[in-house]
Amino acid sequence: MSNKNNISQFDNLFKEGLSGHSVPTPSGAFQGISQGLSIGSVAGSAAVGIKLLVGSIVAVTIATTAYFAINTDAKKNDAQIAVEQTNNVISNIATNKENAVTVLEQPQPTEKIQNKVNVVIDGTAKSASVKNNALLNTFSLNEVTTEDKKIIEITPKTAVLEAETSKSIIYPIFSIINIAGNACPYSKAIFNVYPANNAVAWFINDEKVATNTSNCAYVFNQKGYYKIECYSNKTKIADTFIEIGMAKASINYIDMGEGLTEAKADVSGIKSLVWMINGQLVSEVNGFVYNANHYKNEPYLITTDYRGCKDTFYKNSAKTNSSAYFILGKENTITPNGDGLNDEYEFEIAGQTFFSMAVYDKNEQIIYNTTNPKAYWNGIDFRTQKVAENGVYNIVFTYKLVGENENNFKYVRINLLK
Amino acid sequence: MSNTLTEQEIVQQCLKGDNKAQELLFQTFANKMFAVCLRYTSTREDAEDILQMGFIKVFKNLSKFEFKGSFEGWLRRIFVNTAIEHYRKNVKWMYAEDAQEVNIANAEISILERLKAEDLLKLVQNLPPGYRTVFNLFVIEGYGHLEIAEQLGISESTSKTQLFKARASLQQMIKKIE
Repeated sequence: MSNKNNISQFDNLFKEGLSGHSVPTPSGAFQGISQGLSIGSVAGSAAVGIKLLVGSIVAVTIATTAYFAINTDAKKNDAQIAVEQTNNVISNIATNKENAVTVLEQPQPTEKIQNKVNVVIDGTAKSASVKNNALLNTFSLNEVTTEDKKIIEITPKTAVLEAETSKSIIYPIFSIINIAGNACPYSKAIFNVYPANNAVAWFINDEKVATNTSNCAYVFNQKGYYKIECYSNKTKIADTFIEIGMAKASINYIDMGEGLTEAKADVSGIKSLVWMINGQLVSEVNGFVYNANHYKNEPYLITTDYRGCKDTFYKNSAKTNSSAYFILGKENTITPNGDGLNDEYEFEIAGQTFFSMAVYDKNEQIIYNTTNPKAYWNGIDFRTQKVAENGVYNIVFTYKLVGENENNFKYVRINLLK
Repeated sequence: MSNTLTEQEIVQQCLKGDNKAQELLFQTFANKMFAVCLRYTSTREDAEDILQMGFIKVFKNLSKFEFKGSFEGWLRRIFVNTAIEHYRKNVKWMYAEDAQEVNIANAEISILERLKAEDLLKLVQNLPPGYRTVFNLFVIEGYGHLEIAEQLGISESTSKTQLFKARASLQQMIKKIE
């Protein structure tokens, strides 16, 4: 038989052997996918209630996905709408502060906010303005006219507001609109709150760093995950998050034979990278192949993240270089008998902007769930408030880390032994 | 949800947001698609990630399937594309090296004939990522080198050398079985 025929047969044996092959999927896989679908499609899923008062809308300029919360008149209806804006910032909604903006005809719980929301200003109002077209995509303002300057005139509806005025609450609307300067370790960043309010106090990671100023200058002394909040009269009016040192990289060397080695890195949170050997730039692409015989030292990686910060990574140096991560627990068996050993399933997460955890039994019923990232599962079935039966349980984690655009999903199969 | 529903009926129910129909569709095809995902990765964890991303894409794009061809074929294409995306996300560059076609001996074919699908899968999974992706696309999926080059952002000659190298690596692994 010729070599050509043998190669053809060689390929065909792989093709025939693998084309129709199937491998059992991990149990719990569908739940993760189902969760992923629901989280991705119902930004307004928390929406309930009838009547809203527009207040303390926080626009976040850092996160790629920002959630805008609209608070409600809690006395009448507990309601909350989450409006998801990707890469759009509502820079300002300016109103005459003496007037309340009332949102009537609240969308149904499953509707997104763009479906018909009537906005009315009380009888003393003269105008309201929206300075970003992004808002127009999410609000359908009733009885408005738009002009070239994107100024919206809202006609007062006196008749309606006669009934609503007494319930109106005035909320100035603030947003952190700018972070100036490099957001790197040892660099000074300046935050502004808009509209300017000199009564604002600033907190970074729960530490008060400035008072009575609408601008706050701060030096990030180290890499880390920072929560930035501003308060006015002890009421939080805006917050945001920033991670200093976003880059993550895990370096692997793959022996390609004939003296060649491929240096490859699993990376995230970076804008660009270069490979270096002995202080010399040798490649600007990932998957760098080099002849190991020519170099005494192994290549290392210098990354630049989206804020212009540089990091250096050597092999096995990945995890310690980032403050945003998720690590599954090492033990896959828990013995919740109170002896202090493997009583619960532990995991680690930091720098998350979203987190949920659900434990499924063998019937794929949820027996425990939480959105608390500091939670752990100690075998309790929340339906009975007792430790669940011995057996295998699947835990589905859904989370999003700072700087990430999409949710991550992780499964783990846990043996429970009492 | 009845298992006697046709593919078209299941898809239509899925498009209405029926969670049971989505689960039925998942159960019908998940094992086959998981095997596809495993072929493109070296770890089960990566394959699970691709499986999840693939099915989320499937459910989000179901309305685009017009039943003009095989539904399973459409699914497989989505999972292969998802695997390629996963590959490209991690490897942005492929080394164009000199390589020649291997000589496959009849004895090696005989060994290969005795291997089960699980064994073949392990062999493919043990290939370096670049070799594995090109081998899968060329041999299993039936792509041409031009199409592979476009999908992976490499030259045709690199695709060819990666394929040669893949066969050579597989041959070395098969020899060790002997």
